[in-house]
Amino acid sequence: MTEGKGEEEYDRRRAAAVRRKRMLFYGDRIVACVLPLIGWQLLSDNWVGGKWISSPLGVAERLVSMAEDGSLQMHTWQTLQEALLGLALGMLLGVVIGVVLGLSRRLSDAIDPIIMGFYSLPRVSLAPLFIIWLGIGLLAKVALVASVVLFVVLFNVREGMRTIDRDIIEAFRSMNASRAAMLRHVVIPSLVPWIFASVRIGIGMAMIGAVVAELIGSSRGLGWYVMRSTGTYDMTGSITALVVLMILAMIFNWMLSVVEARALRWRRHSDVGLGG
Amino acid sequence: MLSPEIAIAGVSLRFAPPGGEVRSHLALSDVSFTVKPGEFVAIIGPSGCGKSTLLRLVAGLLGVTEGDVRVGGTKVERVPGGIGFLFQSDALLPWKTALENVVMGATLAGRDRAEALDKARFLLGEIGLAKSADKYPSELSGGMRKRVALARTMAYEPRVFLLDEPFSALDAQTRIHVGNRFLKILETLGQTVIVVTHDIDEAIAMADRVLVMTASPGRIARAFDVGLPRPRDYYGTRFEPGFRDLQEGIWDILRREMEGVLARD
Ligand SMILES: Nc1ncnc2c1ncn2[C@@H]1O[C@H](COP(=O)(O)OP(=O)(O)O)[C@@H](O)[C@H]1O
Ligand SMILES: [Mg+2]
Repeated sequence: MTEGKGEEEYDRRRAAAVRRKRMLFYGDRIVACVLPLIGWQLLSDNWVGGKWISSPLGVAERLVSMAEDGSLQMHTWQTLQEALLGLALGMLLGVVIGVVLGLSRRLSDAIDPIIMGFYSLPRVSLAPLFIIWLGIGLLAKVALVASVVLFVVLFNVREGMRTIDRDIIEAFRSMNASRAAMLRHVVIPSLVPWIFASVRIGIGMAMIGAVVAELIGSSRGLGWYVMRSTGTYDMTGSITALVVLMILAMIFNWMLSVVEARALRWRRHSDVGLGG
Repeated sequence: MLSPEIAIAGVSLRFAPPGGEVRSHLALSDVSFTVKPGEFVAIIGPSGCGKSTLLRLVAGLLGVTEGDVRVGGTKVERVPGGIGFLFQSDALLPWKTALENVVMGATLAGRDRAEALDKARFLLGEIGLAKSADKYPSELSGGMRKRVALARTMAYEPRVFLLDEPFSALDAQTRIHVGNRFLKILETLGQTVIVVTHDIDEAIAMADRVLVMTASPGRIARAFDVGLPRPRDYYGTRFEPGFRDLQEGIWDILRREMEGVLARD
């Protein structure tokens, strides 16, 4: 191969190939979104009837009218707050407890049955208790969401603590690193990938927790709106709320991917690429 | 005569696994030797004879079962300051760049950020990696990672360097290249060094004295003084007169120890 020129040519071709692949990827995604919507509309117009499954156009209309009277924003904001605050609280508790349990094998062994006990308890059944203790407002929902998220984070972090590179720990110990330096430079960064993994699962769980809590007792929020709509056979209403929930989850996942790709850019690039 | 920098006296170490039902394992049995300030000692012995364990004792990462370990005249009970330990794996932080990894060494030695950065840049230059300062370990080759690990250890400014099979993960050519760099740098620094290796030629080429260990439980079988002139060349030294005699002497002991291991298995 002629040096230089051949290399340039190769790079150019490769860049073009990458661009083509990316266009194809976005194309695929659009098709994957639009086709089911068309199918849904056809199904609704011709066979099943909008009364049962509503329709994309009906949902779109409802979204507009709800946005106009402000109820869309109000319900979304409510659910968003519950899910995000609960997620944050659950993450915080999960990381702290996970790190403590990871540091002390003895404590971990001692309270393992209790943790498994709480974990196996359907957290949904706690919702009425939280409502009695914390009222029908935001707090009870945040508590429920946190109790759902907590365990995923805790298990992930505890496992992460056990897989920290032993040589790195010894290298830092041999340089007389303080406990604080060890946590800051070795332990916490080692846990970052595990924490991201648990946030990814936690987002979905937080949405479930928030909606379930609203179903059990509330006066607003997307979950409440679903329940109220089904109560009056307003399928368009309940599906609209579900669509908003879905979009929220998709936005969170996308934001998480962006943050994760930045935070974990030290990993080999192939690990965070788009994939074929 | 100078008082020894490192003094190991009658050291035994028994690994006692937690669950009491498992048998404990004697890793080192009555090991004694001293290392003078500025001396370069190589320890060689069959795999599993307790070489890494011995280094971890000197670094204060493990406690002895019997005997005592002194560094700079003080009995090692916790991690003593001033020890630079280079692990078999490079033990770099994968989420920090080469530069930031080296900065870590200086920071842990108590330097402030500006000093640490200057020092790290200088050391990366010394080991020939100035251009790779902003790369992450996953983007560096094995030999480059080893050099970054050495720079981090140097940034910590230790009085004693402990190197555990520093080149065992490298291919033959990289090994000569990296080995030569390490040797030059360590000779210039003139600090006390213990290098563990399972390579006879490497031990002779680098050290003033080679300690040969027996198979597990490890003891010092014999010490060989290497009278070859410095500065040395990692590869070229093997053509010096006297090298072959040392090679033969060490090989003779190692072969017997390894035969013993094979016969036992
Ligand atoms: N933490 C440990 N617990 C139990 N046994 C160990 C531990 N570390 C090392 N050993 C055992 O001690 C012996 C010596 O190990 P090591 O010092 O790593 O040998 P070398 O470095 O000479 O190959 C081996 O048999 C090994 O299995
Ligand atoms: Mg070893």
